[in-house]
Amino acid sequence: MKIALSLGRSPREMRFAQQLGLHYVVSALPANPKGYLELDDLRGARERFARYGLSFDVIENLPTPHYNKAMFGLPGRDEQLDQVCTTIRNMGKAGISVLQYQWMLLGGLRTETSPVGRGGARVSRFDWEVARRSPIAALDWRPGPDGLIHTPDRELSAEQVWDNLTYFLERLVPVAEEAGVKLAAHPDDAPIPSFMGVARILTSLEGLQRLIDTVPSPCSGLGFCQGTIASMAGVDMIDAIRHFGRQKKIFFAHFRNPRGQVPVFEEVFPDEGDSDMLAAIRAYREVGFDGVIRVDHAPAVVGDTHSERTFGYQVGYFKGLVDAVEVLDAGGVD
Amino acid sequence: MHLALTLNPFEDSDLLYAQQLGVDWIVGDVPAWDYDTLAAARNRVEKSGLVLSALDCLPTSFVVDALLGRVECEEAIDRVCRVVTDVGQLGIPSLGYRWPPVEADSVVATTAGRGGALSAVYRIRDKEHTSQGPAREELWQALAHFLQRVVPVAEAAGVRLAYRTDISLVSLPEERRILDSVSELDRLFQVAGSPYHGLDLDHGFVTQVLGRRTSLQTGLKVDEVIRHFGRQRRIFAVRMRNLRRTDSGAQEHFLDEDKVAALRGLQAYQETGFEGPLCPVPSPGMTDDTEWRHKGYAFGIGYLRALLQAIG
Repeated sequence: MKIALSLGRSPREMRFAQQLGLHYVVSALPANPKGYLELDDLRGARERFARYGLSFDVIENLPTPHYNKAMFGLPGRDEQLDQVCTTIRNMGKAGISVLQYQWMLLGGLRTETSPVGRGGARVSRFDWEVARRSPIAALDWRPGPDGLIHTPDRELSAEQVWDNLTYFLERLVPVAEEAGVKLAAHPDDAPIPSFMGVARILTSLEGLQRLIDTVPSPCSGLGFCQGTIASMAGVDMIDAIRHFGRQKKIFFAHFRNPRGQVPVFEEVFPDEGDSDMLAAIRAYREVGFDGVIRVDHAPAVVGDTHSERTFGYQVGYFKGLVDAVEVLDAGGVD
Repeated sequence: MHLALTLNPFEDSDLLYAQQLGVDWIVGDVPAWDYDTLAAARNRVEKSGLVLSALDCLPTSFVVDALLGRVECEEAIDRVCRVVTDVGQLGIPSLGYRWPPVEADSVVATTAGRGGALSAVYRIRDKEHTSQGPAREELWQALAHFLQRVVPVAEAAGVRLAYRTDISLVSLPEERRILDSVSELDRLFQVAGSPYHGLDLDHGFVTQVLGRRTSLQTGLKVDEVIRHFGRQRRIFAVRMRNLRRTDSGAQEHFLDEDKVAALRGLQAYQETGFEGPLCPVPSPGMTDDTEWRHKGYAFGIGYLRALLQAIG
């Protein structure tokens, strides 16, 4: 399995990944005022990582300002989508094969970070009741160049949001096919059907299947965020790996293991969540998943100025599971 | 098999670190060995909700006189006995010791490991013993005397005394080299065979010294070495690290660089009924890590936890 970390640009991060024995990396590129990612930037990023022995094959994510009008179905979306086509073509030329995007009009949702994890570790939590009481506080306030605080001006029904997504896919999928780039949709995190009057459509296995079936193509599939899928009410994440993996629709995945499901869940360390991560690794192998899977966020560890303790721990755990499954399932137990 | 971390119980943030990474057994690396310090160490660990499963090695200075056979020898041994009694009184189940307390020139180089991590290379002298030699016999006599006095005290105190295998011994010239093979370790238990006397095994020593050397002598492989001591209930602790042969010695690598060996090793320990403490060794040294190697430990804990989960 192609285990990756999400990295920025500093040599320290790249050396860290290298010492952990990683060969793959995913990364974001900043939104470009031109509205598309330029070939030189893409090639430059790929080369920079390659110098540390890291293969940069997945962009995570398509910058929101590059397609926000498309998400909301606003005037100007055609121009935006033309630019996204340029991004896709440039990715093809640069040899970056997966573009992850998300369709969360209001962004990600969380309600608190509390020191209630193991050893008082600070865990990120979502509680739907709290989010209803204080909706603006639950929005993703990470500063971005888009200037969007996602407080909505209008309501959007699920069918409206589906229409917008369908329009997006119909325009982009043929271009992606031509460029040899896979479009990987990240599910809506937190997976609740609607928030502040705006529908969230990729919040159930049915929703993810509908996305796949809307514009069927070997280039349209999923960024399989284990954490989001595991926190969907009533969903068995490992069954979901099998379901989508058999269809070859998992283009990229996130390694995370939350505790709880909607309406309340929290991001604990991957060995203490509700899903059996060893079974998850076996499920990926069973369906022949050969894409990149990256270590996701977990609680912060004390004294961890560069998040290297929490990521070091997670990479160790993840690698150990993969190695153990490879050894045990290949040679059997003595 | 229980995971454990070797840390100084007086470092609050390291206790918290262990807890956050889900490690609840602590091997105490204490700064002093008087009763009050040991009592404080135990109190700090236990009030934190953790378990002080063992104390790390007795300081070499405590046994150096005993080794040299000086007149102060008996006093040095008395002091060790006093510590052992204190440890028992405090209900700490296990205590490590190292022998002989040499500071050998065992690390011959540090070289770039994976991604430029700092990797130690140990000198390993493979030559078999040709004769017992007077110097070796003197060392054994001093060791035997030490054990004959200390082990009964440990037994009475309910403290498991763990000899910590030491790869630096293997760099010594033949005439001063003891405790560097399965038969040498067997002799340790012929001298002091109490069930309270056992081994704190460096897994790198097991694979590169015991496994290799005995494969010449008796045909034992690594898992057979583990079974040999495991069946006798001599394995009190294991430090998991990955050493690999070079031309003249053995070099540190990350555990996952030999995943089959790591997994088979753990399976062998598990099959003998070994319950822990199983301690990761944070090597090679990662760049920009702390002196205690928090980053390296985090990776090692995660990796070992996954392997343990997988072998059930």
